Order: sequence, then C-alpha cells, then structure tokens
Amino acid sequence: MDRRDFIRMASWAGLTCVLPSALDPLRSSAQSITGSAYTGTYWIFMHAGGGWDPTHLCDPKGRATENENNPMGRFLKSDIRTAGNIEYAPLGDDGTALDAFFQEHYTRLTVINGMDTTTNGHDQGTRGTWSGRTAEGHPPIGALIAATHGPNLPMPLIGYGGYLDTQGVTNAVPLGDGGLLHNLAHPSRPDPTGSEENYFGHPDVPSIIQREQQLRLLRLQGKQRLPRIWDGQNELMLARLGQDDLKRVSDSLPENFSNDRLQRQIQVALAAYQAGLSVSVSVSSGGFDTHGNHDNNHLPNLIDFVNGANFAMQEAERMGIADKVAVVMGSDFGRTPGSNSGNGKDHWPISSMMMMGPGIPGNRVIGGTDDRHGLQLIDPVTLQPTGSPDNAQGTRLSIAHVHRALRNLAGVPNEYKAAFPLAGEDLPLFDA
Amino acid sequence: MSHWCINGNLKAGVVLLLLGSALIVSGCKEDPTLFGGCSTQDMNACPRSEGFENPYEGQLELLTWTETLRKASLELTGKLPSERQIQITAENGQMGLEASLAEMMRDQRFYERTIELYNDHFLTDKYLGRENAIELLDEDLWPNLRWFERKYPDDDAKALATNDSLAREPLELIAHVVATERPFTEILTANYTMATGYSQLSLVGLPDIPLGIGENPDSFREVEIPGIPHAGILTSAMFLNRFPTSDTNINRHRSRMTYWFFLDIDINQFGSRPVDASNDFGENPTLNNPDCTVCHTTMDPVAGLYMNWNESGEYSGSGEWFGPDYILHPGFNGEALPDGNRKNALQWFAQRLAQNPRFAQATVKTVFQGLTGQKILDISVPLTPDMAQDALQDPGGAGGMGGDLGAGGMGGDPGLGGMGGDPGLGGMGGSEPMPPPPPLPDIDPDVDPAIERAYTMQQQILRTIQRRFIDSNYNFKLLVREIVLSPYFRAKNASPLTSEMEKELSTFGTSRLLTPEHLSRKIEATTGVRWRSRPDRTDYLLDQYRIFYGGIDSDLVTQRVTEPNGVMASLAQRMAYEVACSAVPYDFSKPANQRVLFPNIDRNTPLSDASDQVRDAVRHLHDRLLGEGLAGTDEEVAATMVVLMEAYSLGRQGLAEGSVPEELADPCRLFNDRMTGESLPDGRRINRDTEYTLRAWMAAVSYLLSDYRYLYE
Repeated sequence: MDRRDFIRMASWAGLTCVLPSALDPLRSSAQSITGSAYTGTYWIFMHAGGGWDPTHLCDPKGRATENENNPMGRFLKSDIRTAGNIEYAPLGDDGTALDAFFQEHYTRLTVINGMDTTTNGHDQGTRGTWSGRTAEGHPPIGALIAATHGPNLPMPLIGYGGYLDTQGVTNAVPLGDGGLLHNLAHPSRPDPTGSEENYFGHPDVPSIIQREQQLRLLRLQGKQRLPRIWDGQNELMLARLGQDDLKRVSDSLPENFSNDRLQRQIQVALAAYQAGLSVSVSVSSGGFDTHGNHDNNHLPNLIDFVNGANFAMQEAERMGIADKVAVVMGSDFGRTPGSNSGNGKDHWPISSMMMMGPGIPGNRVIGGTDDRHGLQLIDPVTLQPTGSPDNAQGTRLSIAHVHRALRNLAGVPNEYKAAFPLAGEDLPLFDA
Repeated sequence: MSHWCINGNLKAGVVLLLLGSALIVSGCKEDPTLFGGCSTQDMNACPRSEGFENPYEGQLELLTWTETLRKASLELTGKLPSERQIQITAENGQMGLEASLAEMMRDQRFYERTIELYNDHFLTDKYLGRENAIELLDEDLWPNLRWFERKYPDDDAKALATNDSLAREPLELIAHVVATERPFTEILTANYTMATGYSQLSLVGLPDIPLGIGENPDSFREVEIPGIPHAGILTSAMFLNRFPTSDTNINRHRSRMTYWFFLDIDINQFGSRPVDASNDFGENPTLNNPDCTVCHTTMDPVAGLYMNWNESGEYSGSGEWFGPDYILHPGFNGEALPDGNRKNALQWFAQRLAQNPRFAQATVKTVFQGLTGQKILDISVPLTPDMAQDALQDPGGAGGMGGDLGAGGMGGDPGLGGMGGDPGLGGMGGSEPMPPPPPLPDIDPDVDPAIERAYTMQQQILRTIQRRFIDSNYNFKLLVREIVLSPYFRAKNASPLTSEMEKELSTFGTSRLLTPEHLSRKIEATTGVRWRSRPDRTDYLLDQYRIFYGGIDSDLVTQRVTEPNGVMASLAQRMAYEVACSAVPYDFSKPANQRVLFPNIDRNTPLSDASDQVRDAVRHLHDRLLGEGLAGTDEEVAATMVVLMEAYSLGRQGLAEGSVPEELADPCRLFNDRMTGESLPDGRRINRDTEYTLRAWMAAVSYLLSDYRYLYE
C-alpha cells in the first residue's frame, strides 16, 4: 500500500490521519503524508572516524629537507602535488595515490583548511564537524537536509555511520549493504528475485493484511492518550507507509556490488536516491585515531577513504546522476604537528573539510594554516588567510561558519535554523 | 549459570591438584538468598515489596497484574508466563506477581537477558566468534592460551568454546553476581574472574601438565589467578581491551568510561567548553591549561589507577606511574592513592567506587533504561567539574537523577506508596530515622512547568527504587522487581487529558520497539517456531537481519535504532508472513492438546463468519499473540475475522478458477519438524491446502504478528 492508497482508505473508513503530537511541533510541521520522488541534490557525508590528518591530505606540509627535526610529514615539500589551485599530499609508494581523486575532481572541489573545531574530544569533534556545534543537541546536517527535502520519504537519511543523533527531525535508516534488500522490497514473496508467487498463493491477500493492519493501528491510536505510546504507534504507521518503496531501491541496485564495505554502502545509497527515496547518506570509515605508528596506519586508510569519494562520483557518473551528487568529507578534528614518542600523532583541533557538488565552487581553497598546522585567521570577504591570531586581523574560521553555509546552500529553512542555532555570522564560502 | 563446587567434581579437583597453586576455584557457597525460597508454591517465602501507588489515580491507567506478568515474562525471559504463574497472579495480584518474578529471575534466560542488557554498554560481545578474544591475549603471559591446539588439534569447537568463554568473562561475572544474589557491587570488587572449563585452562600458565576440562566444562565458575589483584570488571581483559589505552592516552579513555558506566557522570559534558586553538597550550596542557584541565582534573587521577594494566589488558604489577609534574596523582574523589596500594590500585578504587551512591544511581539508570527502553528525562543543568565533585561527595546536589539515596530515601510521600524501609530486606529498614531527602539538582529555568512536574515525579520514583536497591544490599533482582512494579513499566493508557496533563504524563507508558533479540524470543514463545531457514541455523533476527532491524554488532554498530523505518517495517512484514507460513501448518499438524495457536479448531474446519468456533479461535490468537483478552463481539475480533474471511473467500475463488494452486508455497510445506529437523510421519506432513483454510489462517496470523502490540511492548 502506498501513501495515497492509505489516505484514501483512511478517508473511506472515516478515520483521520494525525501526525506527530504537539510535544514535537518541529517534526510535526515538517511531516506530511503526501509525497513524491526526491530529485534534488543527493548529499553524501563521509566521516573519517578518529580524527584525520589534513597535513597528509589537502593541507600538505611535508619537510623542507630529509634531515629536518620533528618534521610535519614523511614527504618533501617539493614533492607536494597540485591539481589546479589545490595542493595535496604525495601519498603512496610513488606519491600518486591521491591523483585519481584530485586530478579528476579538482574542478568541482572546494577545500576548507584551517577550520577550528575547538575540541580535542572525539564525540565533540564528530558532533561539531557534522552539526556545526560541539555540544550535544544539534542534528547532523544530513538530517536537517533530509528533513527539509524528504520528510515523508521512507529513508530520507541513510545512516551507516558518523554522527547520527538526529534529534528527532528525521530517522537515520541503516539500509544494509547488499542483496538482502530484495527480501525486504518484496516481503510477501519467498523468492524475491525469481517467481512472483507469494506465501498465500493469491496476489491480493497481502494487501488485505496491510490494509487491516493500518486500520487497526488507527483504532489503537484513537483510544490511546499517553503521548509516549501514541507516538510509538505513529512511528510504526509512518514507517509502514514507506515499506513498499523499497521495491524501487531493489530495482535500482547494481548487479555487482563492490567488495569494499564503504563503497557498497555508497552503491545502495545511490540506488535509494535514484529511486527517489533518499536525500542524504552518512557513511564512516575508521582507523584514523593513530596515536601510534601514524604513517603506516593512517595513510593507507586516508587513501582508501579518498578513493571512496572517487568511487561515489564514478558510480554517480555511471548512473547518470553525477551532476546531482554532493560529497562532503570531514573528520573529528586534526592531528598534532610532528610525531609523538610512539611515532603517532595525537589530537589537534585544527582540521579541514573537502566538498563538491551542485552549488559548490570548484578549484578553490578557503583558509589555511601555518607551516606547523597552526591556526590562521581569514579575510571574511576573500576567505584567504591573513595570519596568526597573535598578529593579524580577520575571522577565525569555525565549523559553525561551514555549517551556516551548508545550511544556506541546501535550503534548510529558518524554522530549523532557529531551532538549532549556530554561532557566528554567514561567510560567502560557496559564492563563486 | 552454575556455581562450580570443588567437592562436587572429583576429576576437576584432580586437575586442580595437578595445577598446584596456579589457580584457586571457589568452593560451594549456598548462603540463603533473598529470593531463594520464593516461588508461586511458597509465596510466604517471598520478600514483599511496598510497591507503588498509582501517582495519577483516576487518570493514569496501569496494566493489570496479569498483563504486567506477561509483559515482564517476555521482557525478562522471552517466554510466556506459566499457567500457574498466571493463575497465582490473577488470584493474588501484586503478591502473585512478585512470586512469579522470583521464579522468572531464576530462569537461565533471565541471566542471558541481563548479559544482553549490559553488553549494550560494555560491548564486549565484539570478541565472540573465531579467535577474536584469544588474539587479544599474549601467549608469553598466558603460555597455555591455546591449550586446545595440543589437546584437540582438529576440534574447532573447543577453540570456539575457549574463545567465547574468554570473551564473555565480564558479562558472566554480572550474571554470576545476579544469580547468586550477592551485592551488585561485587561486579567491581570481585577478587576473581569467571571462566569455563575451557577458558580456565587458557588462563593457567603450566603447559606441561595433563589437561582436562572436567565435567560441565561449559559452566562458568569463579577463578582466582594468583598474583593478579582482580577488581571485577575493572580488571577484565575484555573490558580493558574494549576501552583501550595508548602511550599518549594513558588510560584516560578508561577513566572516562568508568565515570560514565559506574557513576553516571559524563566527563565529556565538561569539555563542551571550546578549545582555543590559537592559545599557547604550554608545556603540559592537561595539567596547566584551563581548556584541558576542565576535564583532566576529574579524569586523570582515575586514569592513574589503571597504571598496572597495559593496552592489552595485561597486569604488569609494576605500580609505576608518571610524576606529578606530568599528570595528577592517582586517586578518586579527592582521596590520593596510598603508596602501599599502588600494585592493587584498582582494588583500592573498586571499593570506593562501589560504595559511592552514584554507583547505585548509575545501576538504576542502566537497568531502568534497559528494561523499559525509555530514557530518563533529564532537564537538569549541564554538569560541571565542580558539580561532579559535589555529586560524588553529596550526590543530591548534582546533575542527572542525582539523588543521594544511600543517605536517605523518600520517607513518607503518600502519593508514591509507602516509602519507609522494608524490614524484610535488612539494611536500613524502617526503624532508623530517615534524613530528609536531598534536593533535586538544579534544572533548566526555561523548562515548561508541566515537564518539570513530570521530571520531579520520575525522579521521586527512581529515587525510591534506588533506595530500596541500596537497602537490599544491592540485590539486583530486587531492583528489577521494583522497576517492573513501577508505574513506568505498567502505564498503558490514560483518561482524556488536557495538553498540560499530556506533558505531565509524557514520561509514562513504555512504547518500545522490540529489539531483534526480544522479537526473536517472542516469536518462539508465542508461535512455537523460530524464524530461521532450518533448525541448525541461527535465527534471522540474530544473524542476517540483526542490523537491518536496528540491532547492534558490538563492533561497528553499537547504538540500537529505536524508531522503526520503512526497512524495518518491511522486515517485520516479511517476518510475519514467513513465521505464519512456518507456524500455522506446524501447529495444525500436532495433536490438539499440543497446539499453541489452534488448540480448539482443526485445519479442515470450514471457515464461516457465523461460526462461534472460528470466532473463538480468533479470540485465542489475540490472547496468545497479543495478550488481548477480548469478547467475541469485540471490534478487534471482527477485524481479524475480516482478514480471515476475505482471504478465505479470495483463495477459494482462486482455487475454483485454477489461479490459486492447491500446494502450499515451498517454505510453508511441512515434512520435517520445524524445531528439531526430524522427519515427520506421513500423518503430520502437510503440503496441500485444498480448501484454502491453512492460508486463510496464515493471513490472520500474519496480520497479528505484524501488529503494533506484537512488535512493541
């Protein structure tokens, strides 16, 4: 049963669909029971769990000479690579491991360096990077965008990892990463990819069951006055309205899945978008909290992570939706300059983000850091670094600035902005 | 759970003798326990609860005692209550329920549920399977770690049993303390670890001695490893690996988690203050920079108490830690660790941790949330380091649910039922004068007054539960009983409410989407089948669909999804179809007196809207599957009849037209016993449904299995 059928049926039965209670006015105002396929920008948020090292990625530092004391990186500054205006680290045995991503996508890529996360705590950093505020209480940007553009979609935000405390504005749906989706797309069929026969031998019996299920739920709700239980019943009713939509995801899944978990998740998410059912996805990859043996442990993960973004864009190209897909990459925070006694790197509040997609200018670097990855202020108009806070004028580029811009770009309404306010002022991060 | 007896197992005793003093296994202790003699056969032996009055009598509707019994039984054991428990509870109300609860809490399933509840926090089940736990340990320290490779070189089952025994050690300690009704504080203070016959051998460091796993090798028993100063979970290798340290983290993560798990203090809250990246952090910022000391002043002394335990959870016994110019001196709650305790610092800590009233508070919170699926309402102002310090010394003044129940209790609030002491439970009893209850923590001044009243009520009831828990000398079973008896577990509806009262009652009524584990158990309990591909396979909800249905894997996915989505709704739908397909033919194939779904009707009975027999069969399904005792005229019986009869009509029409096959769909055909896999005699085999009655009943059962009241509790 789809939403339209359900509304018609409820109307015939003289029942009223009531959506979430006055206790959650924000959500109720965002929910409606009519809907259509989403065709706007698809947002892929990629979290590098544990705190990545921008100095080995998009804010490369390196060492001046082979013998430099406590250098910023294993590579020489002279080996730093460029793609247009964007510098990146020469990783991999021959220094070209990141070429596939940067050379292919720099024309669409904005790099934000010298972003002050203001924290060295993992939880706070993860929250901050994805909500714009380190304190608890704000939903991730992916949830806000999903709630804005797909409040009645069955899987507005697909949540595989990262920061997913949605604060109730929408649900984060764990969609799995493989073929079991077919079973769920066709729950009444023993063999979902083969015969159309269902368990009852008659094609119409499942629809009788589903119709009566929803009517029963409405009756239970009509008698229920405790808000907690009423809301629980409502959750189930709304969840059921989306279940048939899984067929569309099932139809959009690729025949061959990647062997890489992160990439499989991206494939499923893109299929959900192609089916018009999803607005955003949050994926996460771990292994970045390298307090010991940093180079050997961290850098391969960094390469895989960036390759995941490259894969997302390649898949989008293959599916003909590359111009609709936005990819945003970030992490808890950065890592300390130089190495500790265990050849590791500890937590450092200065970080970077990379993003590309509709409305995001390409070939652009915003902000910057000094040679030891120290904070630099920026000119609020040109967005270029002006120098150290000790001796320069300018604005401290914060995660709140980035999120203010992302919210504006994604059309998050004032209602949500007021409910989850961010510090600071708007900066023209995405002005061409 | 088995308490291993050194005198009761001669073979194992010989093994121990051979091991010399390598380890010490506890002898039998059969001390009488609070709930030990309590049963539905002997209710007089049951410790009585003062219970809880309905705080909104006339407005808030609670489950009846028998409805509470069903809900508690499914929650605590995953089973339906026995006929006797139902009868005793119906006849004796709360007293009967209490006796039934005591029986349930001796069921092995209850200990498994307790383990599940705590694994949601400790996540040590990550190490179950393969050699995930074994690989965490160092063979140089545990030379007999892989004993099974010598003794049973081709027996993978022994390796797996050893691994899983090692992995389960911290959670089995909790189950052991609960089962023996020892003070729950022993999960921190136990001077032993838990091992089976398999893992015990791994932990013995003498590879050349004859090996034997003894009788009952699967049962856990207390094992004390000489030279290791055990401090319950704090010194568990699995716990220490799950919350690891590093050269630069130096046990701070462990400290933070200790505060969170056992004291209900979130140090992270302190760190919401932004770090100023342009600051000169100085030489030792965690000691000197206010941006850092905001957390580290609280965190670092406890981090130091883990000084003897390395990143792999191994004990060094060095008693060495950094100097005061690098990190604060080890200690807790303003008390410095004495030098004489450096080698057993965690034992020193565990004693203090266990006796701190915040431990009881943290336990109540964990168990309340675990059993109700409901977060405790918290409108208190965010905790600061100073408030946390006050809370440890005078918990009544700090955040969270914060009351110092150890010092007082709620004494005499008539709205909550008798709050005085319970002489039957020992402890403070009712004879000592109750000091006035500590004040609630400061709350957000902008909060709605109705929400504030909801908060105050919840705090009062939780504090009452907490005080009773402490008064019982931390008896976990009593804590569970009190939560089950509380109106938060029992609230089911209300009279028409104003919007103000809606807010005030917003914390009442559990509406919990069952976890995959809960749902899996409920399917078996109510339908008599398990949802799995065949008897030798794991249940779908514990395997391939676990994450889809919002479960955790204790590794990458550690937070449960508590609100359903379209995927989960589809999964529940598929479950309903497949379980009905499995259960309906299976149940009908049995003699009537063995059926659970259709005891009063046969599969060949023609279906008719006018048939009382059919209607009674529908009523029975409502009772069995949903716990609804309905009259034959109830509209819900009529609705289920609609499903049954519409499906029946369509199916028969299709049969007549030839568009519907007489054969059941493949998975629904019955040739083998669904539970054992054994081949069934011809008389019980079913593969055709010539009258479409089976499939009509499958439709009705599917409808009920996917109902709100089935999927939620």
